[in-house]
Amino acid sequence: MKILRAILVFSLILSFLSLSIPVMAQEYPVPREQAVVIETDTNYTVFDKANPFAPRGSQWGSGWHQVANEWDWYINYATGETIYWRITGWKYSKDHKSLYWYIRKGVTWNDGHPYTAEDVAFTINTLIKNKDLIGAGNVENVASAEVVDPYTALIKFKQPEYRFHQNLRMWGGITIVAKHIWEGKDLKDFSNWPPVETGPYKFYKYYKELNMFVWERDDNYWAKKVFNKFPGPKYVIFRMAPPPDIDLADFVKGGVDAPLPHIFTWDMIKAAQRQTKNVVLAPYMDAVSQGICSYNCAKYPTSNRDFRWAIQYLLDRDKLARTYNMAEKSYPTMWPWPAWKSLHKWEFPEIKAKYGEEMTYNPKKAEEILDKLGFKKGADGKRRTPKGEPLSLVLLTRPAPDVGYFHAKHLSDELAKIGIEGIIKSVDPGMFGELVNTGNYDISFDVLDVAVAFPNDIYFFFLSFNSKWAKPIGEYQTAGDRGRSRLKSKLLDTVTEKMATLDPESPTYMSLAKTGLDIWYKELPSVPLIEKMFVQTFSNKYWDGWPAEGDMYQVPYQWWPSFIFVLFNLKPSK
Amino acid sequence: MKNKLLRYLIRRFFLYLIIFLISLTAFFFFLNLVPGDPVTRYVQELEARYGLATPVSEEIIKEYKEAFGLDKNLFARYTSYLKRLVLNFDFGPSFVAFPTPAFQLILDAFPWSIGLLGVAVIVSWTLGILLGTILGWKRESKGASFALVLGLILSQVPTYLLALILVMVFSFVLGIFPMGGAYSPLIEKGFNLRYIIDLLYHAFLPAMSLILVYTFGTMISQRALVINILGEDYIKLAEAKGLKSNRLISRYILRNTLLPQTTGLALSLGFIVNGFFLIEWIFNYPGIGRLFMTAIRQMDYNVLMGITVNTMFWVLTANFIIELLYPLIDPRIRR
Repeated sequence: MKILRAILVFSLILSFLSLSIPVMAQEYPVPREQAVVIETDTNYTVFDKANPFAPRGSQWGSGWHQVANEWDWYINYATGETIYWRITGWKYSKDHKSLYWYIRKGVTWNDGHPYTAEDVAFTINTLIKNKDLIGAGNVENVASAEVVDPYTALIKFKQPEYRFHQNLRMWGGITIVAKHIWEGKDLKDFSNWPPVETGPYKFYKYYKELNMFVWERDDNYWAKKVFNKFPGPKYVIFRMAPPPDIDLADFVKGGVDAPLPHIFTWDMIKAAQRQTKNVVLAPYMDAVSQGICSYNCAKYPTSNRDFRWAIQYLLDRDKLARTYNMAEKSYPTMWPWPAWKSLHKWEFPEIKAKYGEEMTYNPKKAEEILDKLGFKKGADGKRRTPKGEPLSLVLLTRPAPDVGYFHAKHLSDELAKIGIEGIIKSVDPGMFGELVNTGNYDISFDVLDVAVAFPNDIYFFFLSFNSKWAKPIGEYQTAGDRGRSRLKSKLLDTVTEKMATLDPESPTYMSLAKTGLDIWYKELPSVPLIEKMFVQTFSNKYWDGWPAEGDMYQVPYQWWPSFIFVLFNLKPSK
Repeated sequence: MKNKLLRYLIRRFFLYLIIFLISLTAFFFFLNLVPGDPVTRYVQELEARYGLATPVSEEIIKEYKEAFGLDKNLFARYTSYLKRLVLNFDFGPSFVAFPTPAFQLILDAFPWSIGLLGVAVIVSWTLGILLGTILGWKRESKGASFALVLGLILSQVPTYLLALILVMVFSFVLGIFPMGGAYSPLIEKGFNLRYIIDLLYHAFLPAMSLILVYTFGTMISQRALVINILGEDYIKLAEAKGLKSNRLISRYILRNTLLPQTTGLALSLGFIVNGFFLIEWIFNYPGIGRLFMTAIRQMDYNVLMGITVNTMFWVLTANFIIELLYPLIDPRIRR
């Protein structure tokens, strides 16, 4: 009994103690009203490192990529505008064997040192010399980089080059580092900590055990003088998202300003709206549309393009868009990229007229094609291959609630109606990648190829379907998203190769793009189904000025480096 | 008698070693037979997250595969792993925080887990036995019946569900406990009273999620044991001799329930550790469980193996120690 009493007394003391400390559900080391709190899905394991060249050289989602590091130029995908940030522009020579890179005057690193052509040339030459660094693959065609004057770098190529500028854009692959900091260092081991960068925030503190990084506004930030751009919040806190239910409760209380956009379902968002008025909704399209991310074009019967078209007719895009669970609504689409303004130029009316009507739900047409191909129904109502073998397809997806799972389920149901067995294989993300990369599936459901969205150049999209990536089944393809469908189309290869040697601004480029797209739809290695909508939620309990429905001045996703442009727009809530 | 005891101890020790080796081997092959490898997965993640326009170079992939022994066949990997582990107690480099050794990450996380789990197990076991004894002793009272029903319900609640309920009530509705973390970022870490109180304060909800469930589990089994013992002749004789209740409970009842309860604790340790992993994840508690979840997501073989080997070691060692204690608790084993 004495022990019981002691425990009771201890609990009471603890409760009183807790009442005497005014706590929020989540505690922060800096005044809450001066900080914007952003979430990531990463458990932090890398500290004291901001090295873009080494694998595990930096911590994803810590804020370094988002608010400390900057890129030379950006595309505002919400408006289509090109933002020349640390540069004033670029110019290729007539033969495209060199590129002049013009640095903006007044840009400085956070230690006060000016950002110059020396930094650009140093980074590129470093990558040329060290093939085992991340980013080295991006300079394979570069012979050298030189400094013409402090604000002009000259990049010389081995072969004519038309798209090198894309490497220095947000998500481009080459992160420029400060020469005065990095020169003479072991590039794989150098920590660059606290990071010397040009971004609006400097490192303040991290809390290993709490999964939290805190960044403090750089009062000498260069863009304050040059562009009159300065972020509202004095601090930015990055933290790991708790489980969704706890996160939602914390969001309602104002514990987090910018939760992960894919952590709440639409029902959860509605629940939050019922509990607080501080919810700002910014529904936006992911950089990829969702659908059949790849048919296995190296495996029978999905190697037959008419068969692929027949399957396509079994997919009811309207139904799938209606039943989407991550936003109020989604949209059916025929395009393999999101409906961003920047990408509208690739949506050729001729292509839409030719294929838009065809990309509809039409099971009868699917059956006609299958009959014509010899996949006829037997007496048992089951379809067989022309050789008389039972017909079944492996539909590869990640488990529910992944959107792909519901799409696979839909196709499986539709296949059953016409006498084909659709076996859903739902596996964890790692295994999914493994099976796709080794070609062990028939149809995979996921987001489509992201290649076109960020560079805003359709050439990269075609390049993803180039025959050179298509490896035999069982052999591992290590080219990222490229070659997942194992498509081999000489026609598309020819168009892509021609486009590679053309200036994207040249008149023949668009015509080739149209031809390429026509071939792609004929081949149909992937099937776009719906826009993948995410609702980025923000809390305006402490901060106003978020991008929102009706005022989407910038892509609202908080893990993108372009989020600094959102931070420039934030003001304390009244 | 001494020989018998020695034989018993040696037999138990060999059994302990064999179980440890079999479990380690099984987990090694289970983990390594999962298709794919962490390096390829990481490279893909790198390309996706950083938007690399060009695939990561073959040199990087090769270097990493060598560092993790992934360039060797499965059997060679197994023998070199065993050799490294036995000779140098080296678990290899971690993948999630390369090149930090996996063991270093485990060492950093270990004190948090041991602190929380140790307290939760000791408190719930002691409290469960005390409450169960009282319930068994006063089994006919209304309070005991009510406590029994409550205990039956609570003991079946999954720890993670209880954790979520506790967070919702105490963090968001009442606002008296933090929703997670091990300490307040407002307090400087160090060996001082403020920090220690803060640690206890932050550990309260995660500990309660475990304590509540396991206390009631132990309580119900203890009640059943006590009721069983109460029907024994030697208890009736002791009562007839006019022994006081306190003495009867402590000397005759509690002592006789200790052996099965100790066995029960040993058996349930594995389950408690399982539940604990989820609790750490829910409360963002920086222990082994959270590290394990991170390692799973990134297929960090070395960290996963390290945690599993350590967990197996501690659970098996705890079982072994409990078995060593049997002869002390029950003299019949000594004979």
